[in-house]
Amino acid sequence: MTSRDRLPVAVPAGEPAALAGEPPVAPARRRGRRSARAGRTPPVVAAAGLVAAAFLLLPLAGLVIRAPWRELPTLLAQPVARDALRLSLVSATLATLLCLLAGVPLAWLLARGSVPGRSLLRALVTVPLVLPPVVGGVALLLAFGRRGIVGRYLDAWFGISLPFTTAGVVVAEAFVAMPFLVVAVEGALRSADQRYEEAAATLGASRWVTFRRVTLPMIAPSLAAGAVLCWARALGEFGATITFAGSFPGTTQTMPLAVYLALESDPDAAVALALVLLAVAVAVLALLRDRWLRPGGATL
Amino acid sequence: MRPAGVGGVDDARTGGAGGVSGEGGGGDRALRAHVMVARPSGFTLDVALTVPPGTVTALLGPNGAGKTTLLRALAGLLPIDAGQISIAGRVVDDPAAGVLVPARHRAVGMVFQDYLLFPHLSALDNVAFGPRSRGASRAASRQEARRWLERFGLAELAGRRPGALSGGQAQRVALARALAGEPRLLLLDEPLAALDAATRLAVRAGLRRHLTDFAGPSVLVTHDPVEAMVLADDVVIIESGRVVQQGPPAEVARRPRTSYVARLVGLNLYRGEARAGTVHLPDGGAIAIADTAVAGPVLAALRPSAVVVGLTEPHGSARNTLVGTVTGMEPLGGRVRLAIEASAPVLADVTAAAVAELRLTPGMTVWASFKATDVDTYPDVSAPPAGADPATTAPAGPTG
Repeated sequence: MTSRDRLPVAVPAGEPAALAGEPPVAPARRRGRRSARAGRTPPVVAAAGLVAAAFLLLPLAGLVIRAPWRELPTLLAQPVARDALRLSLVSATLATLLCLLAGVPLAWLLARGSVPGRSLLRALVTVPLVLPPVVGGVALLLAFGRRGIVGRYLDAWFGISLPFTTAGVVVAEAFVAMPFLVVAVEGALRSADQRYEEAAATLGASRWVTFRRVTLPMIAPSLAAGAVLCWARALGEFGATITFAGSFPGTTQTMPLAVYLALESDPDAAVALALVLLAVAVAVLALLRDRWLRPGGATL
Repeated sequence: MRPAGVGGVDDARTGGAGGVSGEGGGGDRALRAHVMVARPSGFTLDVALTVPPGTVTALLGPNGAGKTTLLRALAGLLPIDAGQISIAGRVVDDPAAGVLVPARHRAVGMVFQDYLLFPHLSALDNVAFGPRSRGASRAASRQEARRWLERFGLAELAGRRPGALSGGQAQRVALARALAGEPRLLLLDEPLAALDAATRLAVRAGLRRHLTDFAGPSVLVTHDPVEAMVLADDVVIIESGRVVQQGPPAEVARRPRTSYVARLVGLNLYRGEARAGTVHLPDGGAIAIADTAVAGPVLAALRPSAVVVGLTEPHGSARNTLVGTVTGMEPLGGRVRLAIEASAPVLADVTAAAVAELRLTPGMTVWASFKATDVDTYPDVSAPPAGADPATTAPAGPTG
């Protein structure tokens, strides 16, 4: 907008439609102006934006178009596909539970605890968010592998060996997915009004009762969103899983691994499994729609 | 002032409170506190307080005076740095002795400023929260909560979430929630501040009734003098973390001790040295008073409605005449309160008709006069905190 001072009538700030040299106009007219302005998008920008959108959406469209819809039930009923599907659902769910059990206390510690070096710790626990998953897998091997710094004692003392087992899949998925939950819950804990917890204390509630009956319900939306994100991330995990747990059908071959391996032997099965993962992703997006697609909504 | 140990009290609430014996007039169930808190900012709070059971003490003071800090210390939400707090004969905070009872074990009911009703629980479950947290079964605590809601005329709102309650209803639910825990001390932090002026009157009347019913001591934080006068048996005025005045509301309203209190209750207050029927003000002014015997540091209070304002020098019987400039005009009920800057600053109440007739406007020179008999003088016994009142003279000596 060019010059506000040429307006004959004072216009409240934040009224972009009142154009220079014009008296304020009727609302209907104003709206017309606004859309006219929206139509003045520079063509270069519009073109580049459309290309980018096409780049993001075309592959997905390709997947949907190329999918062997008619054979889909048969393909997904194959033992390999069925096993991968079941294993993925089970391991992602277990990983999410693990994340909830360990991640919520960690989030509480980061939000409310009085641990030294808290901000450093906060930065470190989000490292798996940006770490290449393969690197995560290698790191897990070095820590929990049969000769890893922790794994050797697990093996020697308890006879537990995580690598190349379903438990290893769960560990790998939890490692990669936990930051999603921690970041979401920590943000909610930090923004929750702690005076409600004080009110609970004056009513005789212990800290645990306060957490369960006051804090938890107040952070429930963030907790649910974090858990859904966490589960989706665990379901799609590839790099850390294949590095740490390998790819044994029935025990460690999750859907993403099955898709990758089937691409050579049975492309139709790969596409069918990929389609399932895409459907899950879309469902997650729909679940989180309010949080993500609303302007000013919580990020992550 | 209500007698300690009020009759007609619901025995459901007095049951279980220890030390109900008559010794010391129920003094065992009083709140006795000496709260000292130092803040990193340099602010210190040092207030001693005794509240007998069945009475309401109002903490009145400007923002930042430390009222809420004091209330939080009593509730157990803030440990004190020195002093002692005892509720119903039980020491709950004593840093020197290493005693600190957490809030949840203090049996204190608290009504928060914006009520802090749990948004995800119904009104019923909000009220049941206390009994449930203290170990009652879900059914028993709900039954108890239902009784309280009925008592507060809220039975039909039991299922509503706080978001669906009006301000006045939420206030009553918050009070019911605080009382349902059968507390031995009731704390109210600005309980009416969140209400609009229209509902405030009605809710205030209800609150007064419920406070009268409560058998234990109550402490009410407010910055509204009318609220304090209506609800409290005793008023404690706190400025900058110290008690500057304490007493029954009527006494405080009649004889303010600091300029803050005088402003609150709408009186002119002068601090000076009385000699032979005249109060000499530190900055040179003088006020004639009727009592020629009084001497020494005094406070002199004057009702603004006792001041007569004219455009020429009055030749009447009033012994005090001051010439000054109108610096402020504020409508007040059916009158207009003038602020007049003279050798002693004066607030004067005149009728709107007088304002029109004299064509009073800010900046005009006027004469203010008042009779010596309208000036109430009383000894300046309390030394107010340094810097709280620029008109401070030397603190008074011993008094009878």
